[in-house]
Formats: sequence, structure tokens, C-alpha cells
Amino acid sequence: MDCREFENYLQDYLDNETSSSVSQAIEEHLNQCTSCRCELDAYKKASLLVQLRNVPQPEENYWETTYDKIQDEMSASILQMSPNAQSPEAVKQDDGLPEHINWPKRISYFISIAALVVFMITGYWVSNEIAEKPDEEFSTVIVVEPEWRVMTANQSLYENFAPDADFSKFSGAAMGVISPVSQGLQAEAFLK
Amino acid sequence: MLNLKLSAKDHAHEDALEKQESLIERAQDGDELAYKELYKRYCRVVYTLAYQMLGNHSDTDEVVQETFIRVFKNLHRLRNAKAFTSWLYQIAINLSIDHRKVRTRRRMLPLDDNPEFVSNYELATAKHVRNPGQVLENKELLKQINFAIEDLPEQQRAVIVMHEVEGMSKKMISEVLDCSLVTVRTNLHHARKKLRQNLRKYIQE
Repeated sequence: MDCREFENYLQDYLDNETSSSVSQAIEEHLNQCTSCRCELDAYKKASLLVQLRNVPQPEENYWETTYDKIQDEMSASILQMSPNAQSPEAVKQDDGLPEHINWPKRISYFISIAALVVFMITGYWVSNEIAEKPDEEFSTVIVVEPEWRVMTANQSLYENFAPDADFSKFSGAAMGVISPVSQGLQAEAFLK
Repeated sequence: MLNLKLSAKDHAHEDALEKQESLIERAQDGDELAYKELYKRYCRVVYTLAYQMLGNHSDTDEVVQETFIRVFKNLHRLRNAKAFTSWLYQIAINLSIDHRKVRTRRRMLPLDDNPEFVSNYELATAKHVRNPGQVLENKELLKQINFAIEDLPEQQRAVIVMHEVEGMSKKMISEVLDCSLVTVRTNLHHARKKLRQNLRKYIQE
């Protein structure tokens, strides 16, 4: 075994976690290598120093007073926390959710469900309103003039429209169907 | 008020060596005496662990109380009674780490200077060392050991305390810290290196 291998096994060797063959090889190496021996001693001494750090134990009555404090803090909840000692009132309050779901979670679940229900009702109401009252903005009267000039009641909607360029852009689109009319006539088309 | 001093009956009861699992089951059923017994068994270990992590009595006291309150409140959720010890230590260590973070944010001094809590080491050295100068040296050494441990990052300190001081196995530590065995080994390795570096003055002597 060389020094690099020893370095790899050092921590395991300190914890007596090396196999007997590896331990033997390490010991043989330590007999020959002073620096590795010093390295191992340094770790062992550091470990011993740490173990000197004893914890000062408090006075004996400390344990009793602390237990009393714990009991006070717990009040009567120790028995209530036990499922076998659950009071009938507690059973009545059970809302059917799994036990591991705590109150903040339960509240957030209820809020989410309520928000979903409100959203669905609002959506249904809005769709009914739209069905009953056709949108005025789309019931625009389009007047087709002989030169294919388009005039609309809501001119601003089509101010960029250039009818002379290409009428086909206009026809058959979502705007509705406009049939060409002869010169001097006016046609009205209600967009659907 | 519950009397925690052991009576003759209690000794006889201890001799019977009630199995831990049945004790926990009794506590889970709401048996107050079982709670008391669990507290009696583990209060000192929890105190020692927390003290090793925090370095003073007042913080340790808070952590001990909070640990047992949490344990008792959540005991009914513990499915495997065999895991009780590692679960208890896990709560104690995590609370100690959290407590320490809060204290660091408030920039409070970490070490206990209360003369009431003279360490066993100091007492032992004071008894056996006649030279007052050596007692002072030993006090200085103890202070340096404390500083060296305090200087370690949380996880490394937890690992070194549990392994080197409390003698826990690496497997147990991995359960307590909820991490892999490799992580425990790595943290232990780094902690030992740092300790060796910080205490080199005393190691070389």
C-alpha cells in the first residue's frame, strides 16, 4: 500500500470499517511511513479532543419542571391527538378529507373549489347573454357602391380597407357574404 | 405535577424492561404514563444532542421542550415504532439547526458562559490538576474545542456530534439527517479535516 491508497482508506480505518486484509496492509504501511502515521495520529487526537466536550447536565429538578412546561403547552391536546381518544365532537367535525390534510390545506382546497364553481356559473351566464343579444358591433350595415367602395356604419372598423385593391379579401371572410350588385343599387348585408 | 424521580416501583418496572414498541403503542393510545416514560428515557439524550449543536443552556432548553411537544403531538402518525429513536433525534437536530439559524441572523453569541454550567471536563481537570496555570490552559483548550465545533457548517457539526461524541453509527445518522450514507461519510470526512486544522495547535503538542 502506498500513501495515496492509505489516504483513501483513512476515514474507514478510523471508524474500524476496513476489512481485515486492508487493515493489515494499512498497519504494514504505517510501520514504514512516518508521515502517514502522523496523519493518523492527528485525526485520532482531534477526535479525542472533540469527545472532551462534555455537556454540563442541568440540576435534577430541571427535568421535572421541563416536563411540566411541555404538559402545559400541550394542555389537554395529548389525549385529543390520539385517534383512539378522539371525542365525538371531533368525529362530527370530520369533513371526509384524509387525516394528513391539515387545516390550511383544507381551506385552500375549499377556496379553489368555490372559485371554480363561480367561474363556471359566470361562464354559463355570459354565454346565455351573448346568445340572447347579438353583438351590435357585428351587425354593421355594409353598403356596396358601384365602384366596389365600401361604406360602413362603423367606419372606423374598416378605415384601412382598400376595396379597389382586392375585393376577394373581403368576400367570404368572417364578415359575412356580400353579393355584387349592379350599378346604382345598394345592398345591405347583415353579418351573421 | 408528575414526579419524575424513580421510585422502587419504577425500578421494578424498569427491570421488566418494557419493550420500546409497546411503550410507543401505549403512548399512541393516549397513555399519559407512557408519555412520561418516553420523556424520562430520552430527555437527557435530546438535551445532550441539542446542547452539542447549540452550545448554551437557554437555547437547548427551548429546543428540548419544542422537540417533545412535536413528538407527542405527532406520535399517532408514527407508523413504525422501531423508527422512533431516529425520528426523535431528527426532530431535535432539525430544530437545533433552525434555532441556530435564527440566532445567527440575530447575531447572538453562541457559547455558554454561565458559570452554573461548568463542564465535566473542567471539573475533572480542576480536581486532578494542582497547577492553576494548567487549569487555565485546559479552560482555553475547551474554549478552542468549542470554537472549532461551532465553526463547522450545520450538517458537518451534526454529523461529528452524533458520530464522534454520541457514538451513533453512520447508518443511524443517515436516517436522522434523512440523507445518504455517502453524504454522511463525506460530511464526516470534511468535519474531521476542519477540526484537525482548527485544533492543530493542541494536536501537535
